[in-house]
Amino acid sequence: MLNIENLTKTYGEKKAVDNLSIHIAPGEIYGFIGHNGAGKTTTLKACAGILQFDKGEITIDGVSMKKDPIACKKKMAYIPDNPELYDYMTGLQYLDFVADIYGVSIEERKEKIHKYASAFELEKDLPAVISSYSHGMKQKLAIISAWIHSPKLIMMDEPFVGLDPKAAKLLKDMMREICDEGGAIFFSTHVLEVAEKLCDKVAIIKKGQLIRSGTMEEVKGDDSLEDVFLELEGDK
Amino acid sequence: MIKALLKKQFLELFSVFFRGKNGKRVAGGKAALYIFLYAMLILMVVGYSTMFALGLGATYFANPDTAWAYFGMGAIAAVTIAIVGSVFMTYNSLYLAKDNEFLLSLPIQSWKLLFVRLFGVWFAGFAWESLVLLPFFVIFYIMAPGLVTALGVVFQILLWIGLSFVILFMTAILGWLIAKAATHMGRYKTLIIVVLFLAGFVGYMVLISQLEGGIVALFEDPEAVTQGLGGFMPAYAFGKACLGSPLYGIIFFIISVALFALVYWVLTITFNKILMSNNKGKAITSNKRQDKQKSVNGTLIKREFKHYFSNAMYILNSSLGYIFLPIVGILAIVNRDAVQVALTNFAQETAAGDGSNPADILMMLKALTPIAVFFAVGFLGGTSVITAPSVSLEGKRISILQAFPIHMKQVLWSKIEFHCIIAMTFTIPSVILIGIGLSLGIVDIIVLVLLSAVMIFFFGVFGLACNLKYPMLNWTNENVALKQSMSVLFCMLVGILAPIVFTLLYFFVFINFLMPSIYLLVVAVLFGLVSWLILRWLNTQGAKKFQYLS
Repeated sequence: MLNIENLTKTYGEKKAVDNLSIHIAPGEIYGFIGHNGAGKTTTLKACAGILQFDKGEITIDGVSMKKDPIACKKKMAYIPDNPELYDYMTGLQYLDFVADIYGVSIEERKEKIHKYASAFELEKDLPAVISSYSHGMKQKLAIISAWIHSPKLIMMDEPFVGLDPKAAKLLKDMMREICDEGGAIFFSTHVLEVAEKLCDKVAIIKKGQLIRSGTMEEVKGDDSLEDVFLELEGDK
Repeated sequence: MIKALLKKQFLELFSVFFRGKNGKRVAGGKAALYIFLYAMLILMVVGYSTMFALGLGATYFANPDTAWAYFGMGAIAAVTIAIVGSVFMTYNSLYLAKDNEFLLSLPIQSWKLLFVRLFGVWFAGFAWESLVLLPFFVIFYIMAPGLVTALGVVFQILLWIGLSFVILFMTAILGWLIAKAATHMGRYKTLIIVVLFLAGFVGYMVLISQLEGGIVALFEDPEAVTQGLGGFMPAYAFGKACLGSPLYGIIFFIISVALFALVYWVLTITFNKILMSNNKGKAITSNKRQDKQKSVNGTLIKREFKHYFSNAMYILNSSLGYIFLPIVGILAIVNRDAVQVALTNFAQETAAGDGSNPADILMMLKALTPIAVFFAVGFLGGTSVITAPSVSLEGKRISILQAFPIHMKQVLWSKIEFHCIIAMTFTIPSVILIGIGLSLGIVDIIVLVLLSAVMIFFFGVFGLACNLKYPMLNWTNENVALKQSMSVLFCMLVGILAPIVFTLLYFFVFINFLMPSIYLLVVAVLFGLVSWLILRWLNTQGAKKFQYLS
């Protein structure tokens, strides 16, 4: 579903991502972990087509991000780490806006909005302007907007930050549902327990380089993901 | 403590010169360009003020009994400019400061916070006031040295400061009214803020027109103006004091200090409440469901509309000229006969002066009217560029658009289209009204409409290109992007200079070769050509730049 081949991105002298390769198959929830500044957000942004990269190739469902970014973006959704939404719209107007961009029919969007907003207990807040939302409510709205056009691939940067336990559980279920339907999830997180329980595969990145990746068993063996991560980071 | 807080306040105020969009230090050249652009703006205000002072001085200095009106008018102009320039800063600084919660958590006494906040607001008002008032003082010393007294100079300095307290008092009241509107008026808050601002502005215009009976009367009948202005005590007291009257000087200064004390006292009582309330008011809600799927272009333009009408500052800062154009149009229609009479009188007076034929002069005046209309419309429209801050206003939310499966030139085009919709809705009918009001021929009106449309398009693409070149995405408050962005400043300068340059070019170069309508058509073609070139850049490199802005 998502192939990252030899991705390299530099900021001046600094290599933010260095020759990174990751392959995510349909049906996989793929976790992306690393310390602050390791290159996770840079990688996700490059995959979302909002950051130019220097070398390498990114393909989504066989389509090259460099050659046909619009076709790629139609197949995916991206949720940034801090959901900055349009404060001047109501939640409902924002969802309609996103649905219009992706060409989602009125019937389909109504059904999706009802399904996810009621699950997140956000339905009664949708008519309110986004500037009145809390961080968690904005995060929920960003998640609903990502799900509204039934993407094949969803990429999320720290999606669990700001979510209450119930919403976090719901998000995990939604992620699994997408994968069960043949889609894939690629997300970064600092919450290693979540990654350990939720992910089919995981990649650990350090200073822009991939230092370990594979299935959860391959990466952590009999240890906990936290122990492995700290060991690889040289903190243990 | 106060020193540290003041340093923070001034860093915020002048950050545009030192910190770029990524918070990094601005390169020397760029900082110099910022300083140059601000210097140009300051020079322009000082220039207009000097011209105004020269005109008033020539009228009033001849008679020492009416000389006070010179300073009275100067004070009114200074207060107006200062209020217009700093009222939204007052609102933002006192009621919307993002760091209120942070500062409140620190061991700082609230009066110190208030002092620092008020100092910033006072400084902004004082700076604007000085740009207007100081040229008045200088012109006075040059044109009327015989009226200068030592006591007069002392009171000029005192009242220069005293007037800044009056400005602080008025901006604090207006800022409070805006804050109240923002808190209680829900979905209508933008409309109410715009109406409040315009009401204040129109109120001032009415006041001025009552005082002077129109700008023509100002120069034709100074006695009447002086009498009218004499009924307005603050202006009279200010004027008399600047000429050396100790009684009026002391009264004015005491009242201005008392007004400052009143503001400080009221705010001291309410400041903690202001700081601890979130001031968000009731959340705006809308249950309206969209019943039809929109096209990508339609939904992008709708988004621009929503953004524009959500922020009063956006409306006022980027389209005040358009709002005034219909007023000019209606005035032209209402005063249609009076304008013709004024033109005829002017022609007769000029003819009497140089012995030429009044009919010839009147014909020439009428022939040149389209150029004058171009100048006025170009000036009002050129300083109102909605696209100039539109990229910056995306802020960190820009990634939402960047991640969508759409070409970024569609996004840019929606911004240009929105600018054209708003600008043309106001401008085109206004130009037609002005044309009819000034009895222009149908060809002249058509040419002016065409030129206006082309110029609107030009400023739309030009503003957008400037903003792509100088984006400011890391703001904490949209008003920073609206007020302190280099693209806005640059567009405003070009908007002011373009009509001046093309008008002067006609009068000094082309007047003997080209009829006004032909000249204006040439100008339209020129603007059209440049617009096309800029649009080509926007569709290619501009769109690419937007895609990866961060």
